Amino acid sequence: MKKEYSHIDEENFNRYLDDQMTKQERNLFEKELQKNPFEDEALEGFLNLNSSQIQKDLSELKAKIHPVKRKTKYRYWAAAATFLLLVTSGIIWVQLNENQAISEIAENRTVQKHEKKIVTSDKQEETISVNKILQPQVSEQYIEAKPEVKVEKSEVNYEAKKSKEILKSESIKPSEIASRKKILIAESTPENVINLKDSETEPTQNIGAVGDILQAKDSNVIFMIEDLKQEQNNRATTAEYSSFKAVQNVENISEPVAFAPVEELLTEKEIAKSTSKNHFEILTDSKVQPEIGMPEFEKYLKNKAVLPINFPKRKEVVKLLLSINSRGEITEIQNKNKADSLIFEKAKEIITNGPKWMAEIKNDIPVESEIELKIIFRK
Amino acid sequence: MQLISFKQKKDNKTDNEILELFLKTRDINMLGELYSRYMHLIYGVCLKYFREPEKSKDTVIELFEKVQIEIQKHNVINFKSWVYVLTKNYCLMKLRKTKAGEIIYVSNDEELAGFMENETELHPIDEELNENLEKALNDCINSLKAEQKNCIRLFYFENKCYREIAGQLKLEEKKVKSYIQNGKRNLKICLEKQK
Repeated sequence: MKKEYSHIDEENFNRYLDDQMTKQERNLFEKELQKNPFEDEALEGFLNLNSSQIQKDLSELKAKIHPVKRKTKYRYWAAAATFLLLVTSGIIWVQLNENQAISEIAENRTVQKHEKKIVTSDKQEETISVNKILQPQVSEQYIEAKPEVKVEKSEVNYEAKKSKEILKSESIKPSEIASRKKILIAESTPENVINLKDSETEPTQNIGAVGDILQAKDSNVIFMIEDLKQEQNNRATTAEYSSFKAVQNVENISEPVAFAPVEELLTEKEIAKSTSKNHFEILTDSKVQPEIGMPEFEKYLKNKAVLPINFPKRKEVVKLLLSINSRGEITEIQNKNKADSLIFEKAKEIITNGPKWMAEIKNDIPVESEIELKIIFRK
Repeated sequence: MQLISFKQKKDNKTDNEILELFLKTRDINMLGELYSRYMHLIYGVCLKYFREPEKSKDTVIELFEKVQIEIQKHNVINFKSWVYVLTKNYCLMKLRKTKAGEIIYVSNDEELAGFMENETELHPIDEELNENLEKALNDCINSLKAEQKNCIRLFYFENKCYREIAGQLKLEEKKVKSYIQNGKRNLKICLEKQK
Protein backbone atom coordinates (compact mmCIF):
# COMPACT_ATOMS: atom_id res chain seq x y z
CA MET A 1 0.00 0.00 0.00
CA LYS A 2 1.31 3.31 -1.00
CA LYS A 3 1.52 6.04 1.53
CA GLU A 4 1.22 9.74 0.99
CA TYR A 5 4.64 11.32 0.91
CA SER A 6 5.43 13.46 3.86
CA HIS A 7 8.39 14.19 5.99
CA ILE A 8 9.16 15.72 9.33
CA ASP A 9 10.55 19.17 9.01
CA GLU A 10 13.32 20.80 11.00
CA GLU A 11 10.92 22.69 13.23
CA ASN A 12 9.26 19.53 14.50
CA PHE A 13 12.63 17.91 15.07
CA ASN A 14 13.67 20.92 17.12
CA ARG A 15 10.43 20.92 19.09
CA TYR A 16 10.85 17.24 19.82
CA LEU A 17 14.47 17.64 20.84
CA ASP A 18 13.68 20.70 22.97
CA ASP A 19 10.86 18.79 24.67
CA GLN A 20 8.29 21.32 23.50
CA MET A 21 5.75 18.74 22.30
CA THR A 22 2.82 17.44 24.24
CA LYS A 23 2.67 13.71 25.02
CA GLN A 24 0.18 13.22 22.23
CA GLU A 25 2.39 15.09 19.77
CA ARG A 26 5.37 13.06 20.88
CA ASN A 27 3.43 9.85 20.28
CA LEU A 28 2.46 11.02 16.76
CA PHE A 29 6.01 12.10 16.06
CA GLU A 30 7.37 8.74 17.22
CA LYS A 31 4.81 6.88 15.12
CA GLU A 32 6.11 8.80 12.10
CA LEU A 33 9.62 7.77 13.06
CA GLN A 34 8.45 4.16 13.19
CA LYS A 35 7.11 4.48 9.68
CA ASN A 36 10.08 6.39 8.21
CA PRO A 37 13.55 4.98 8.82
CA PHE A 38 15.15 8.08 7.22
CA GLU A 39 13.67 10.36 9.89
CA ASP A 40 14.34 7.78 12.57
CA GLU A 41 18.04 7.60 11.74
CA ALA A 42 18.23 11.36 11.44
CA LEU A 43 16.79 11.73 14.93
CA GLU A 44 19.39 9.33 16.24
CA GLY A 45 22.02 11.60 14.76
CA PHE A 46 20.40 14.75 16.16
CA LEU A 47 20.41 13.29 19.64
CA ASN A 48 24.19 13.85 19.61
CA LEU A 49 23.72 17.65 19.36
CA ASN A 50 21.49 20.31 20.82
CA SER A 51 18.84 21.92 18.63
CA SER A 52 20.56 25.33 18.39
CA GLN A 53 23.73 23.70 17.09
CA ILE A 54 21.68 21.74 14.58
CA GLN A 55 19.94 24.90 13.36
CA LYS A 56 23.24 26.71 13.02
CA ASP A 57 24.80 23.85 11.08
CA LEU A 58 21.81 23.56 8.79
CA SER A 59 21.86 27.28 8.06
CA GLU A 60 25.52 26.99 7.18
CA LEU A 61 24.81 24.05 4.90
CA LYS A 62 21.97 25.85 3.15
CA ALA A 63 24.27 28.76 2.46
CA LYS A 64 26.74 26.39 0.86
CA ILE A 65 24.13 24.57 -1.16
CA HIS A 66 22.62 27.77 -2.59
CA PRO A 67 25.56 29.91 -3.59
CA VAL A 68 24.19 30.18 -7.09
CA LYS A 69 20.90 31.42 -5.75
CA ARG A 70 22.63 34.11 -3.76
CA LYS A 71 24.65 35.09 -6.79
CA THR A 72 21.44 35.46 -8.70
CA LYS A 73 20.11 37.82 -6.05
CA TYR A 74 23.33 39.78 -6.29
CA ARG A 75 22.93 39.91 -10.06
CA TYR A 76 19.46 41.36 -9.66
CA TRP A 77 20.91 44.11 -7.51
CA ALA A 78 23.73 44.65 -9.93
CA ALA A 79 21.31 44.79 -12.84
CA ALA A 80 19.09 47.23 -10.97
CA ALA A 81 22.08 49.39 -10.06
CA THR A 82 23.32 49.33 -13.64
CA PHE A 83 19.88 50.25 -14.91
CA LEU A 84 19.65 53.14 -12.48
CA LEU A 85 23.12 54.28 -13.46
CA LEU A 86 22.21 54.20 -17.13
CA VAL A 87 18.98 56.08 -16.54
CA THR A 88 20.77 58.68 -14.43
CA SER A 89 23.50 59.03 -17.03
CA GLY A 90 20.86 59.41 -19.71
CA ILE A 91 19.07 62.12 -17.77
CA ILE A 92 22.31 63.95 -17.11
CA TRP A 93 23.28 63.61 -20.74
CA VAL A 94 19.92 64.95 -21.89
CA GLN A 95 20.16 67.85 -19.49
CA LEU A 96 23.70 68.65 -20.52
CA ASN A 97 22.66 68.41 -24.11
CA GLU A 98 19.80 70.78 -23.45
CA ASN A 99 22.12 73.26 -21.82
CA GLN A 100 24.57 72.90 -24.61
CA ALA A 101 21.83 73.40 -27.14
CA ILE A 102 20.87 76.70 -25.54
CA SER A 103 24.44 77.75 -25.52
CA GLU A 104 24.80 76.73 -29.09
CA ILE A 105 21.77 78.75 -30.05
CA ALA A 106 23.37 81.72 -28.47
CA GLU A 107 26.55 81.14 -30.35
CA ASN A 108 24.89 79.85 -33.42
CA ARG A 109 26.17 81.37 -36.51
CA THR A 110 26.68 80.26 -39.97
CA VAL A 111 29.66 81.90 -41.37
CA GLN A 112 30.01 82.44 -45.00
CA LYS A 113 33.18 83.98 -46.10
CA HIS A 114 32.76 86.04 -49.15
CA GLU A 115 35.77 86.65 -51.07
CA LYS A 116 36.04 90.01 -52.51
CA LYS A 117 37.11 90.61 -55.92
CA ILE A 118 39.88 93.02 -56.04
CA VAL A 119 40.11 94.77 -59.30
CA THR A 120 43.25 96.62 -59.83
CA SER A 121 43.26 99.46 -62.21
CA ASP A 122 46.66 101.06 -62.77
CA LYS A 123 47.62 99.28 -59.53
CA GLN A 124 45.92 102.02 -57.62
CA GLU A 125 42.24 101.51 -57.99
CA GLU A 126 40.66 98.75 -56.03
CA THR A 127 37.06 97.86 -56.13
CA ILE A 128 35.52 95.02 -54.34
CA SER A 129 32.42 93.14 -55.13
CA VAL A 130 30.51 90.93 -52.82
CA ASN A 131 30.62 87.37 -53.81
CA LYS A 132 27.57 85.46 -54.75
CA ILE A 133 26.70 82.66 -52.48
CA LEU A 134 23.57 81.39 -54.05
CA GLN A 135 24.50 82.26 -57.57
CA PRO A 136 27.37 80.01 -58.42
CA GLN A 137 26.94 80.78 -62.08
CA VAL A 138 29.14 83.83 -61.56
CA SER A 139 32.18 81.79 -62.25
CA GLU A 140 34.78 84.43 -61.72
CA GLN A 141 33.81 84.81 -58.13
CA TYR A 142 35.27 82.66 -55.49
CA ILE A 143 33.25 81.27 -52.65
CA GLU A 144 34.88 80.24 -49.48
CA ALA A 145 32.45 79.04 -46.90
CA LYS A 146 33.32 77.89 -43.43
CA PRO A 147 31.76 74.57 -42.55
CA GLU A 148 28.48 74.97 -40.76
CA VAL A 149 28.97 74.72 -37.07
CA LYS A 150 25.33 74.51 -36.13
CA VAL A 151 22.12 73.35 -37.62
CA GLU A 152 20.61 76.72 -38.03
CA LYS A 153 22.04 78.95 -40.59
CA SER A 154 21.22 82.06 -42.37
CA GLU A 155 22.31 82.25 -45.83
CA VAL A 156 22.93 85.63 -47.24
CA ASN A 157 22.64 86.06 -50.87
CA TYR A 158 24.01 88.92 -52.66
CA GLU A 159 23.49 89.80 -56.17
CA ALA A 160 26.68 90.54 -57.77
CA LYS A 161 27.29 94.07 -58.54
CA LYS A 162 27.40 94.32 -62.23
CA SER A 163 28.89 97.68 -62.65
CA LYS A 164 31.03 98.32 -65.61
CA GLU A 165 34.12 98.42 -63.49
CA ILE A 166 33.49 94.97 -62.16
CA LEU A 167 32.50 93.49 -65.44
CA LYS A 168 35.53 94.91 -67.09
CA SER A 169 37.82 94.05 -64.27
CA GLU A 170 40.16 91.17 -64.29
CA SER A 171 39.19 88.53 -61.81
CA ILE A 172 41.72 87.31 -59.33
CA LYS A 173 42.18 83.61 -58.97
CA PRO A 174 40.83 82.03 -55.84
CA SER A 175 44.30 81.15 -54.66
CA GLU A 176 45.34 84.73 -54.92
CA ILE A 177 42.29 85.85 -53.08
CA ALA A 178 42.89 83.33 -50.39
CA SER A 179 46.41 84.52 -49.99
CA ARG A 180 45.20 88.01 -49.49
CA LYS A 181 42.76 86.77 -46.88
CA LYS A 182 40.35 89.49 -47.48
CA ILE A 183 36.98 87.94 -47.20
CA LEU A 184 33.60 89.20 -46.27
CA ILE A 185 31.74 87.31 -43.64
CA ALA A 186 28.01 87.17 -43.28
CA GLU A 187 27.05 85.97 -39.91
CA SER A 188 23.99 85.56 -37.78
CA THR A 189 24.76 86.58 -34.26
CA PRO A 190 22.79 85.60 -31.16
CA GLU A 191 21.23 88.98 -31.21
CA ASN A 192 20.02 88.31 -34.70
CA VAL A 193 22.32 90.82 -36.22
CA ILE A 194 23.62 89.94 -39.57
CA ASN A 195 26.95 91.47 -40.22
CA LEU A 196 29.01 91.57 -43.23
CA LYS A 197 32.46 92.25 -42.07
CA ASP A 198 35.98 91.90 -42.99
CA SER A 199 37.32 88.66 -41.67
CA GLU A 200 40.75 90.08 -41.22
CA THR A 201 42.06 93.52 -40.96
CA GLU A 202 44.68 93.33 -43.52
CA PRO A 203 45.68 96.80 -44.51
CA THR A 204 45.50 98.18 -47.96
CA GLN A 205 42.29 96.37 -48.66
CA ASN A 206 38.95 97.93 -49.16
CA ILE A 207 35.49 96.52 -49.05
CA GLY A 208 32.33 97.93 -50.44
CA ALA A 209 29.24 95.94 -49.65
CA VAL A 210 25.80 97.36 -49.53
CA GLY A 211 22.43 96.25 -50.73
CA ASP A 212 18.78 95.60 -50.00
CA ILE A 213 17.57 92.67 -48.07
CA LEU A 214 15.40 90.73 -50.41
CA GLN A 215 14.11 88.38 -47.80
CA ALA A 216 14.51 88.51 -44.09
CA LYS A 217 13.06 86.28 -41.46
CA ASP A 218 12.84 88.27 -38.30
CA SER A 219 11.30 91.61 -37.79
CA ASN A 220 13.71 92.21 -34.94
CA VAL A 221 16.78 91.52 -36.92
CA ILE A 222 19.06 94.40 -37.43
CA PHE A 223 20.87 94.04 -40.66
CA MET A 224 24.15 95.71 -41.11
CA ILE A 225 27.05 95.47 -43.34
CA GLU A 226 30.31 96.34 -41.86
CA ASP A 227 32.50 97.97 -44.32
CA LEU A 228 35.98 98.11 -43.12
CA LYS A 229 38.13 100.69 -44.65
CA GLN A 230 41.70 101.11 -44.12
CA GLU A 231 44.14 103.07 -45.99
CA GLN A 232 47.37 101.71 -47.15
CA ASN A 233 49.46 103.91 -44.92
CA ASN A 234 48.29 102.27 -41.69
CA ARG A 235 45.70 104.81 -40.98
CA ALA A 236 43.49 103.91 -38.10
CA THR A 237 40.78 101.51 -39.03
CA THR A 238 37.24 102.72 -39.05
CA ALA A 239 34.11 100.80 -39.63
CA GLU A 240 31.11 101.85 -41.51
CA TYR A 241 27.72 100.29 -41.58
CA SER A 242 25.32 100.54 -44.40
CA SER A 243 21.75 99.74 -43.69
CA PHE A 244 19.66 97.26 -45.53
CA LYS A 245 15.98 97.30 -45.95
CA ALA A 246 13.97 94.29 -44.85
CA VAL A 247 11.61 93.35 -47.62
CA GLN A 248 9.85 90.47 -45.95
CA ASN A 249 9.64 89.73 -42.28
CA VAL A 250 9.14 86.25 -41.06
CA GLU A 251 9.70 84.48 -37.78
CA ASN A 252 12.78 82.45 -38.24
CA ILE A 253 16.14 83.71 -39.16
CA SER A 254 17.23 80.31 -40.33
CA GLU A 255 15.54 80.97 -43.65
CA PRO A 256 17.64 82.38 -46.44
CA VAL A 257 18.13 86.07 -46.50
CA ALA A 258 18.90 87.73 -49.75
CA PHE A 259 20.55 90.98 -50.35
CA ALA A 260 20.68 93.06 -53.42
CA PRO A 261 23.03 95.93 -53.80
CA VAL A 262 21.73 99.45 -53.66
CA GLU A 263 22.88 100.80 -56.90
CA GLU A 264 22.95 104.34 -55.75
CA LEU A 265 25.19 103.61 -52.80
CA LEU A 266 27.42 101.35 -54.75
CA THR A 267 27.76 103.87 -57.42
CA GLU A 268 28.62 106.40 -54.82
CA LYS A 269 31.22 104.13 -53.33
CA GLU A 270 32.69 103.26 -56.59
CA ILE A 271 32.86 106.84 -57.55
CA ALA A 272 34.66 107.53 -54.34
CA LYS A 273 37.03 104.69 -54.91
CA SER A 274 37.63 105.36 -58.53
CA THR A 275 38.53 108.94 -57.82
CA SER A 276 41.06 108.03 -55.16
CA LYS A 277 44.51 107.11 -56.21
CA ASN A 278 46.66 105.99 -53.33
CA HIS A 279 44.10 105.86 -50.56
CA PHE A 280 40.47 105.05 -50.07
CA GLU A 281 37.66 107.32 -49.20
CA ILE A 282 35.92 106.47 -45.98
CA LEU A 283 32.20 106.27 -46.38
CA THR A 284 30.82 108.83 -44.07
CA ASP A 285 27.32 107.58 -43.42
CA SER A 286 27.19 105.03 -40.68
CA LYS A 287 24.78 103.50 -38.24
CA VAL A 288 25.00 103.91 -34.55
CA GLN A 289 27.39 101.40 -33.07
CA PRO A 290 29.70 100.82 -30.15
CA GLU A 291 33.18 102.22 -30.45
CA ILE A 292 34.70 98.79 -30.13
CA GLY A 293 32.61 97.50 -33.00
CA MET A 294 29.64 95.21 -32.91
CA PRO A 295 31.47 91.85 -32.71
CA GLU A 296 33.48 92.95 -29.71
CA PHE A 297 30.40 94.48 -28.16
CA GLU A 298 28.56 91.22 -28.60
CA LYS A 299 31.39 89.40 -26.85
CA TYR A 300 31.20 91.94 -24.07
CA LEU A 301 27.47 91.34 -23.71
CA LYS A 302 27.91 87.62 -23.72
CA ASN A 303 30.45 87.82 -20.91
CA LYS A 304 28.38 90.16 -18.81
CA ALA A 305 24.92 88.72 -19.38
CA VAL A 306 24.96 86.25 -16.52
CA LEU A 307 21.85 85.49 -14.51
CA PRO A 308 22.02 85.53 -10.70
CA ILE A 309 22.39 82.04 -9.20
CA ASN A 310 19.05 82.25 -7.44
CA PHE A 311 17.20 83.40 -10.54
CA PRO A 312 14.39 80.90 -11.23
CA LYS A 313 15.02 80.63 -14.96
CA ARG A 314 18.06 79.41 -16.74
CA LYS A 315 17.69 81.90 -19.53
CA GLU A 316 16.20 85.35 -19.83
CA VAL A 317 16.05 87.46 -22.94
CA VAL A 318 15.98 91.20 -22.69
CA LYS A 319 15.22 93.34 -25.70
CA LEU A 320 16.41 96.87 -25.25
CA LEU A 321 15.80 99.94 -27.30
CA LEU A 322 18.67 102.35 -26.88
CA SER A 323 18.28 105.98 -27.75
CA ILE A 324 21.60 107.55 -28.58
CA ASN A 325 22.03 111.22 -29.15
CA SER A 326 24.28 112.93 -31.62
CA ARG A 327 27.17 112.89 -29.15
CA GLY A 328 26.96 109.13 -28.83
CA GLU A 329 25.46 109.27 -25.34
CA ILE A 330 22.78 106.87 -24.31
CA THR A 331 19.77 108.94 -23.42
CA GLU A 332 17.21 106.26 -22.85
CA ILE A 333 17.01 102.51 -22.47
CA GLN A 334 13.62 100.89 -22.95
CA ASN A 335 12.53 97.42 -21.94
CA LYS A 336 11.01 96.33 -25.21
CA ASN A 337 9.91 92.84 -24.27
CA LYS A 338 8.91 93.62 -20.69
CA ALA A 339 11.65 91.43 -19.37
CA ASP A 340 12.13 90.79 -15.66
CA SER A 341 12.79 94.13 -13.96
CA LEU A 342 15.83 92.84 -12.12
CA ILE A 343 17.37 91.54 -15.29
CA PHE A 344 16.41 94.69 -17.15
CA GLU A 345 18.19 96.75 -14.53
CA LYS A 346 21.19 94.52 -14.87
CA ALA A 347 21.04 94.91 -18.65
CA LYS A 348 20.90 98.68 -18.27
CA GLU A 349 23.89 98.54 -15.98
CA ILE A 350 25.80 96.45 -18.50
CA ILE A 351 25.01 98.89 -21.30
CA THR A 352 25.73 102.05 -19.34
CA ASN A 353 28.96 100.67 -17.92
CA GLY A 354 29.91 99.25 -21.27
CA PRO A 355 31.76 100.69 -24.23
CA LYS A 356 30.98 104.10 -25.56
CA TRP A 357 28.81 104.50 -28.58
CA MET A 358 29.30 106.36 -31.81
CA ALA A 359 26.34 108.30 -33.05
CA GLU A 360 24.70 107.55 -36.32
CA ILE A 361 26.00 109.70 -39.10
CA LYS A 362 23.77 110.80 -41.86
CA ASN A 363 25.07 113.05 -44.57
CA ASP A 364 28.25 113.60 -42.57
CA ILE A 365 26.22 114.84 -39.62
CA PRO A 366 25.83 112.93 -36.34
CA VAL A 367 22.18 112.45 -35.58
CA GLU A 368 20.07 110.97 -32.83
CA SER A 369 19.17 107.38 -33.39
CA GLU A 370 17.81 104.27 -31.81
CA ILE A 371 19.13 100.78 -31.81
CA GLU A 372 17.52 97.64 -30.59
CA LEU A 373 19.64 95.15 -28.71
CA LYS A 374 18.76 91.67 -27.64
CA ILE A 375 20.69 90.38 -24.64
CA ILE A 376 20.39 86.77 -23.61
CA PHE A 377 21.14 86.24 -19.95
CA ARG A 378 22.22 82.81 -18.85
CA LYS A 379 23.42 81.11 -15.72
CA MET B 1 2.16 17.29 15.13
CA GLN B 2 2.00 18.86 11.74
CA LEU B 3 3.76 17.20 8.89
CA ILE B 4 4.49 19.09 5.77
CA SER B 5 3.11 17.43 2.70
CA PHE B 6 5.21 17.76 -0.39
CA LYS B 7 2.22 19.22 -2.15
CA GLN B 8 1.97 21.92 0.48
CA LYS B 9 5.43 23.24 -0.22
CA LYS B 10 5.57 26.90 -0.88
CA ASP B 11 6.43 26.44 -4.50
CA ASN B 12 3.66 23.81 -4.87
CA LYS B 13 5.97 21.52 -6.78
CA THR B 14 6.35 17.87 -5.91
CA ASP B 15 9.72 16.18 -5.74
CA ASN B 16 9.13 14.53 -9.07
CA GLU B 17 8.16 17.79 -10.74
CA ILE B 18 11.31 19.46 -9.54
CA LEU B 19 13.33 16.45 -10.58
CA GLU B 20 11.83 16.55 -14.05
CA LEU B 21 12.61 20.24 -14.33
CA PHE B 22 16.18 19.63 -13.27
CA LEU B 23 16.64 16.83 -15.77
CA LYS B 24 15.18 19.04 -18.48
CA THR B 25 16.96 22.27 -17.69
CA ARG B 26 20.03 21.02 -15.78
CA ASP B 27 19.48 23.99 -13.51
CA ILE B 28 21.47 23.24 -10.40
CA ASN B 29 19.19 25.51 -8.38
CA MET B 30 16.38 23.06 -8.96
CA LEU B 31 18.37 20.19 -7.57
CA GLY B 32 19.50 22.39 -4.70
CA GLU B 33 15.88 23.09 -3.89
CA LEU B 34 15.03 19.40 -3.86
CA TYR B 35 18.11 18.46 -1.87
CA SER B 36 17.38 21.17 0.68
CA ARG B 37 14.04 19.56 1.50
CA TYR B 38 15.88 16.57 2.92
CA MET B 39 19.13 18.16 3.95
CA HIS B 40 18.29 18.12 7.66
CA LEU B 41 17.57 14.39 7.43
CA ILE B 42 20.77 13.78 5.49
CA TYR B 43 22.70 15.74 8.07
CA GLY B 44 21.03 13.77 10.86
CA VAL B 45 21.98 10.48 9.24
CA CYS B 46 25.55 11.67 8.78
CA LEU B 47 25.61 12.71 12.43
CA LYS B 48 24.39 9.29 13.43
CA TYR B 49 27.28 7.60 11.61
CA PHE B 50 30.13 10.06 12.15
CA ARG B 51 29.11 11.69 15.44
CA GLU B 52 31.14 14.71 14.30
CA PRO B 53 29.34 17.85 13.14
CA GLU B 54 32.19 19.07 10.89
CA LYS B 55 32.68 15.74 9.18
CA SER B 56 28.91 15.40 8.83
CA LYS B 57 28.63 18.83 7.26
CA ASP B 58 31.42 18.02 4.80
CA THR B 59 29.65 14.80 3.94
CA VAL B 60 26.37 16.64 3.29
CA ILE B 61 28.17 18.86 0.73
CA GLU B 62 29.96 15.89 -0.81
CA LEU B 63 26.68 14.09 -1.09
CA PHE B 64 25.11 17.03 -2.91
CA GLU B 65 27.87 16.80 -5.49
CA LYS B 66 27.37 13.05 -5.69
CA VAL B 67 23.63 13.47 -6.11
CA GLN B 68 24.23 15.77 -9.11
CA ILE B 69 26.15 12.99 -10.82
CA GLU B 70 24.23 9.93 -9.68
CA ILE B 71 20.75 11.27 -10.28
CA GLN B 72 21.47 11.43 -13.99
CA LYS B 73 22.53 7.80 -14.04
CA HIS B 74 19.46 6.37 -12.34
CA ASN B 75 15.79 6.49 -13.01
CA VAL B 76 14.80 7.96 -9.68
CA ILE B 77 11.12 7.63 -8.84
CA ASN B 78 11.20 8.33 -5.11
CA PHE B 79 13.83 10.91 -4.39
CA LYS B 80 13.47 10.72 -0.62
CA SER B 81 14.07 6.98 -0.49
CA TRP B 82 16.81 7.20 -3.07
CA VAL B 83 18.72 9.95 -1.32
CA TYR B 84 18.32 8.11 2.00
CA VAL B 85 19.95 4.97 0.63
CA LEU B 86 22.60 7.02 -1.12
CA THR B 87 23.37 8.87 2.10
CA LYS B 88 23.52 5.74 4.16
CA ASN B 89 25.77 3.96 1.69
CA TYR B 90 28.06 6.94 1.31
CA CYS B 91 28.44 7.29 5.08
CA LEU B 92 29.15 3.61 5.51
CA MET B 93 31.64 3.67 2.65
CA LYS B 94 33.40 6.60 4.22
CA LEU B 95 33.50 4.86 7.57
CA ARG B 96 34.93 1.73 5.99
CA LYS B 97 37.73 3.74 4.43
CA THR B 98 38.64 5.36 7.70
CA LYS B 99 38.32 2.25 9.84
CA ALA B 100 40.43 -0.27 7.97
CA GLY B 101 39.68 -3.88 8.75
CA GLU B 102 36.31 -3.21 10.28
CA ILE B 103 33.44 -4.90 8.49
CA ILE B 104 30.60 -2.55 7.83
CA TYR B 105 27.46 -3.48 6.01
CA VAL B 106 26.90 -1.52 2.83
CA SER B 107 23.71 -1.77 0.82
CA ASN B 108 24.28 -3.33 -2.54
CA ASP B 109 23.04 -2.00 -5.87
CA GLU B 110 19.96 -4.21 -5.75
CA GLU B 111 18.89 -2.65 -2.49
CA LEU B 112 19.53 0.79 -3.90
CA ALA B 113 17.55 -0.12 -7.01
CA GLY B 114 14.75 -1.29 -4.77
CA PHE B 115 14.60 2.06 -3.05
CA MET B 116 14.62 3.70 -6.38
CA GLU B 117 11.77 1.78 -7.83
CA ASN B 118 9.57 0.93 -4.87
CA GLU B 119 7.98 2.93 -2.19
CA THR B 120 8.10 1.88 1.43
CA GLU B 121 5.18 -0.24 2.40
CA LEU B 122 3.19 0.56 5.49
CA HIS B 123 3.12 -1.90 8.34
CA PRO B 124 -0.35 -3.43 8.90
CA ILE B 125 -0.49 -1.81 12.31
CA ASP B 126 -0.21 1.63 10.68
CA GLU B 127 -3.07 0.94 8.30
CA GLU B 128 -6.79 1.35 8.74
CA LEU B 129 -7.89 -1.93 10.25
CA ASN B 130 -10.90 -3.92 9.17
CA GLU B 131 -12.51 -6.50 11.44
CA ASN B 132 -10.64 -9.48 10.06
CA LEU B 133 -7.29 -7.73 10.15
CA GLU B 134 -7.95 -6.41 13.64
CA LYS B 135 -8.69 -9.90 14.95
CA ALA B 136 -5.61 -11.36 13.28
CA LEU B 137 -3.50 -8.53 14.57
CA ASN B 138 -4.75 -9.03 18.14
CA ASP B 139 -3.99 -12.70 17.90
CA CYS B 140 -0.45 -11.98 16.71
CA ILE B 141 0.13 -9.32 19.38
CA ASN B 142 -0.85 -11.82 22.05
CA SER B 143 1.72 -14.20 20.67
CA LEU B 144 4.55 -11.66 21.11
CA LYS B 145 6.94 -11.61 24.07
CA ALA B 146 5.67 -9.66 27.08
CA GLU B 147 7.97 -6.59 26.63
CA GLN B 148 7.18 -6.31 22.92
CA LYS B 149 3.47 -6.90 23.51
CA ASN B 150 3.25 -4.28 26.28
CA CYS B 151 5.24 -1.68 24.40
CA ILE B 152 3.14 -2.12 21.20
CA ARG B 153 -0.15 -1.95 23.09
CA LEU B 154 0.87 1.16 25.00
CA PHE B 155 2.35 2.82 21.91
CA TYR B 156 -0.31 2.04 19.27
CA PHE B 157 -3.50 1.50 21.25
CA GLU B 158 -3.01 3.82 24.22
CA ASN B 159 -0.98 6.40 22.22
CA LYS B 160 1.75 6.67 24.82
CA CYS B 161 5.08 8.17 23.87
CA TYR B 162 8.41 6.41 24.44
CA ARG B 163 9.05 8.41 27.55
CA GLU B 164 5.73 7.49 29.12
CA ILE B 165 6.12 3.82 28.25
CA ALA B 166 9.68 3.83 29.61
CA GLY B 167 8.42 5.36 32.85
CA GLN B 168 5.50 3.00 33.13
CA LEU B 169 7.47 -0.17 32.30
CA LYS B 170 10.63 1.09 33.96
CA LEU B 171 12.68 0.65 30.82
CA GLU B 172 15.08 2.83 28.91
CA GLU B 173 13.58 4.82 26.03
CA LYS B 174 15.94 3.10 23.62
CA LYS B 175 14.73 -0.27 24.81
CA VAL B 176 11.10 0.79 24.34
CA LYS B 177 11.85 1.82 20.78
CA SER B 178 13.68 -1.41 20.16
CA TYR B 179 10.84 -3.54 21.58
CA ILE B 180 8.34 -1.73 19.38
CA GLN B 181 10.46 -2.20 16.23
CA ASN B 182 11.13 -5.86 16.91
CA GLY B 183 7.51 -6.45 17.85
CA LYS B 184 6.34 -4.87 14.55
CA ARG B 185 8.66 -7.13 12.59
CA ASN B 186 7.36 -10.21 14.39
CA LEU B 187 3.78 -9.07 13.86
CA LYS B 188 4.34 -8.76 10.16
CA ILE B 189 5.76 -12.27 10.00
CA CYS B 190 2.85 -13.56 12.07
CA LEU B 191 0.26 -11.86 9.88
CA GLU B 192 1.86 -13.18 6.68
CA LYS B 193 1.74 -16.69 8.16
CA GLN B 194 -1.97 -16.31 8.90
CA LYS B 195 -2.66 -15.33 5.30
